[in-house]
Amino acid sequence: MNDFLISIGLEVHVQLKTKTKMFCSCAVDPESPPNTNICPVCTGQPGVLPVKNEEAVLLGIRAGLALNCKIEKFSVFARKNYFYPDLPKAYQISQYELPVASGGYIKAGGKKIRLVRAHLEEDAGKLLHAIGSEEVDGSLVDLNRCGTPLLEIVSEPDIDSPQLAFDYLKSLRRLMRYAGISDCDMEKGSLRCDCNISIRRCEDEPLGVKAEIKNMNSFKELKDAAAYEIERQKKLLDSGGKVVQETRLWNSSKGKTFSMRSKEEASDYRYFPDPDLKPIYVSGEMLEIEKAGLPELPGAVKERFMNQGLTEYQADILTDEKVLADYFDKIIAGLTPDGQEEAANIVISNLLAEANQSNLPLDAFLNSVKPAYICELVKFRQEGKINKQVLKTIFPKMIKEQKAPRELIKDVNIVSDESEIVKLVEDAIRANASSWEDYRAGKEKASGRIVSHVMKESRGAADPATVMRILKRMAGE
Amino acid sequence: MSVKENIRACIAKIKGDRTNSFIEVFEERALAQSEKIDALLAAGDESLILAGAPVALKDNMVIKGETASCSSKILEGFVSPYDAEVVTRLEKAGAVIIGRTNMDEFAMGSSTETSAFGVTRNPLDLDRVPGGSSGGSAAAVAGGLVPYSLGSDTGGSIRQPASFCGICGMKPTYGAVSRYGLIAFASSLDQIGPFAKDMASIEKIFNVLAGKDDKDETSCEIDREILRKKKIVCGIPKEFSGSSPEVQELFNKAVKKLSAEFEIEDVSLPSTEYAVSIYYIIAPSEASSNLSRFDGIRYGFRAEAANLAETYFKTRGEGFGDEVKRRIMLGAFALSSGYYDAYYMKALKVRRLIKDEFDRAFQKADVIISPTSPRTAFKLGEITDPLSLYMQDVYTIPANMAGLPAVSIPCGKCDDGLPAGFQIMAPRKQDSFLIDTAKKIEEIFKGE
Amino acid sequence: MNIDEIKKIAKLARIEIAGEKLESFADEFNKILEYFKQLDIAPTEGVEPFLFEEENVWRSDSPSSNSDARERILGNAPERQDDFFKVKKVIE
Repeated sequence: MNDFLISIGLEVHVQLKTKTKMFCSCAVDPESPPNTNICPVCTGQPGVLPVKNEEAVLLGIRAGLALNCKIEKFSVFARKNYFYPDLPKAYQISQYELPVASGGYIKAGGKKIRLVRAHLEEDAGKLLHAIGSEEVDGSLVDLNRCGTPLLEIVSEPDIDSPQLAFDYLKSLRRLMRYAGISDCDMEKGSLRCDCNISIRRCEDEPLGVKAEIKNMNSFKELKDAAAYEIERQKKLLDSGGKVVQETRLWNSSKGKTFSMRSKEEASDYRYFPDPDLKPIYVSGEMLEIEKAGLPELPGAVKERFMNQGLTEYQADILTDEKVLADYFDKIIAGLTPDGQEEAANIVISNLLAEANQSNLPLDAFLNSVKPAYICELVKFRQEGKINKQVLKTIFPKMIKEQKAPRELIKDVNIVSDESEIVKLVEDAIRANASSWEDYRAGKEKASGRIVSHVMKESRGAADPATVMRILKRMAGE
Repeated sequence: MSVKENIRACIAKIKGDRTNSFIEVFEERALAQSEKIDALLAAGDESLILAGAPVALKDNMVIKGETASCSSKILEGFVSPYDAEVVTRLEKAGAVIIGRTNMDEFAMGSSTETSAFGVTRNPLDLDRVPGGSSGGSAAAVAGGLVPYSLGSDTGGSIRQPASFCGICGMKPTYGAVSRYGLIAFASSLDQIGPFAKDMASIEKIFNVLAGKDDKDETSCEIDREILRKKKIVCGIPKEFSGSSPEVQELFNKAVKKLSAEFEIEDVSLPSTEYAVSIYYIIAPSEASSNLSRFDGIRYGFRAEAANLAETYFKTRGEGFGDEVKRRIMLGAFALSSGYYDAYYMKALKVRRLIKDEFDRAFQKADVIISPTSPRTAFKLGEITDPLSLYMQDVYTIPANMAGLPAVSIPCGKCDDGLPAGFQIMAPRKQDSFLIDTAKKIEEIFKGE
Repeated sequence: MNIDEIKKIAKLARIEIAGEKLESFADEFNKILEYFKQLDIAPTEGVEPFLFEEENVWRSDSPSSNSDARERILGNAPERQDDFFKVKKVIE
């Protein structure tokens, strides 16, 4: 059953970080009461005309650059015609033959996933079938969201596993957040994802019939839905059946995908260039400005961190959010290179744990912790002044009381400097002579008694790693 | 006479109209507006270019708080939440918007015979059509009910009625007048324009309407400078040769009158042979999309239906007339997968050919002249075959294709006693030059 | 164009056409399509589709609101529930 090749392509919609809608000046605000951010244009009144949002266009270009796409000099908005109550004009203004960006790639899971294109379009409104728990004898249309600017990013079917799909979406999200294109919050709806899945027995065969899967509302659901669908298709083919090209909805409570009921034949969208909108003309100058507007992107930051001595694991975590990477940069600006590993440890093990506990969003939380304090902690650790236990104790206090570490260690049992530890080790050696002999003879485990002695005498203040280092040094002499 | 009295008199005249040019008179609104203007004039305001002038609007321009229905059942009950840009500009200039005029449903027609509110009659002969689709606006001016009215022109819908009714009608450069608030028929061809009895009036109201509008991406500034030419060269397209004998004779007489002051040349626009074909691909295609929003969901007529699908089918089935249905389907067909390249894309390419040919012709000529329509006003019910009706627009469509300004002015009566318009076209954005030239030509025609 | 194809297009355009009218629609359609055949010989080899002047037109990202228009828009709803437009049940 496992001899199938998997091909997954993702179609991701990200909501652009603009103040107003794509073609009118209504505010974009998902929290507003129903039908408050509406105007004649976004409700498709007779006689209205769209006018494109400059910021949305520039964000589209910037996103294309971040995605390594070719930015087209000339791109066109097209009408996608279909009838649905949440689509007031009965057409969606999107892009078809000439999108703003084409080609490109995203690196994820150690692979390079190619993109087909990225294009601009407007969002539709929302349909409700119930208000709270009360059913409605009909459906209700809310056009608040209608007209919100979106960027649709389409990948080639280069993704070959549910895990890679997960990683791809994470990478895409990270990239879009770094570049300031979108908040990409799946819960709030600023990141939406559909996937196309097909399987085949070998590379010589053409791509299999694909099914489109919709309604995945989290990263985990994407992974689960993809895994389920792949199994479903495998079972189907193994039993001699055929995969039908169709749209299926993921049902997370049942853990299955279901074919959409009342699915009509594929609609002919009759795309044509929207005559109300002038094309987008991108000059070399505009490209230079947008390139310059891009910050250092996650891939580059990660590489830089690793070149500076961090492990891939550490670099991954620290570059997950731009605010965190920027914060880390501030810390290491105040340290020598040999302190970066410790800094990474403190940020990852201690700081992020506190951040998770806090009610504040990450950027607000980081703003409340002075990078200089972290630098101090790194130095104390390097000097062996505080061990992990002490660090763990004073860290939350530092956050809560907003006090510098050097203030907090006054109240804690610490070792002042390395010479004190040397003295403690010497005492412990004298008190455990036979263990010392064993250790010198090569029995690693014999160090345990000596270290315990030091810990006991120092009332837990000494740093075991520092103790071992000194012990080794002495044994070597 | 105060503005209010003037407007009252105007309303009374309209109520006695036998041509069915008006669908509705905005009595309350007009009287309120006229009071405002009277007050401003009394206070010494001299900036109101159209102070107190009654203006009628074709039923496809929206006015806040009033109905606009495109003479269609499907917009029954629709009250506009906003003003069209032309309404804002007119009222700012002191005009009084007096009512909405009859039209072919959704501007699809050349005779004002497809309205859901009955036909409009030509004031010069009540058995004949006033032309279309802006027949009501033309009849209102020709019948002496109002001094100004606005129409819209997509393939000739201002110029042809002006020709049939013996008045002046202008289609501006595409983009010169904002389309914001014009219920769209064919977005890349539509323009709002004025009707009036003479070119001086056309000029006055046009200058109030023209100018870029931020709410319309396709809008543009026109060239306000008037090119001073020693002798204006008028080009006559060889290909515009299908007129009836009466019309051709009247046109030839008119050209003769001009030959003293103007130079007359032949020009060639070979691709205008395809103008009617590409018009009846491009316009219905854009219209099929523009009219999709009339679905009964958010405004207007909603049919009784058992489910959502029926809401769509029945609302549009019952709400649209046959010609509108025909064109929507023609458009849907031309845009559909498999036919898009052969029809819509092909039409856009031929459109470029026409534009390029005009550019070349304007290197030789300053303006291009022709009869406005190949014939005079026909009788109501006389032409029923769609294709024959479409052929009425053969001389007017090319200006919409190239986005050029064009005007139709009266040049006398044919042997059948009916007027035939004289069309003048100028290069894109040369609206001021066009108006100036038209005034000169009008002067010559009147000087008999 | 036969009656079936006319029916397909009518469905695409969501327009209900009375059975007895289908035949005449098809006839008129075909006459018009016949006329379009002249385009087959139009010399469009290498010709780009028509476009108006080349320039970027857009607006700045500044919000504005209009509560008066909003009220009027909702007031036009053929069927309304609170601040929603109401339609027959949508089955997804």
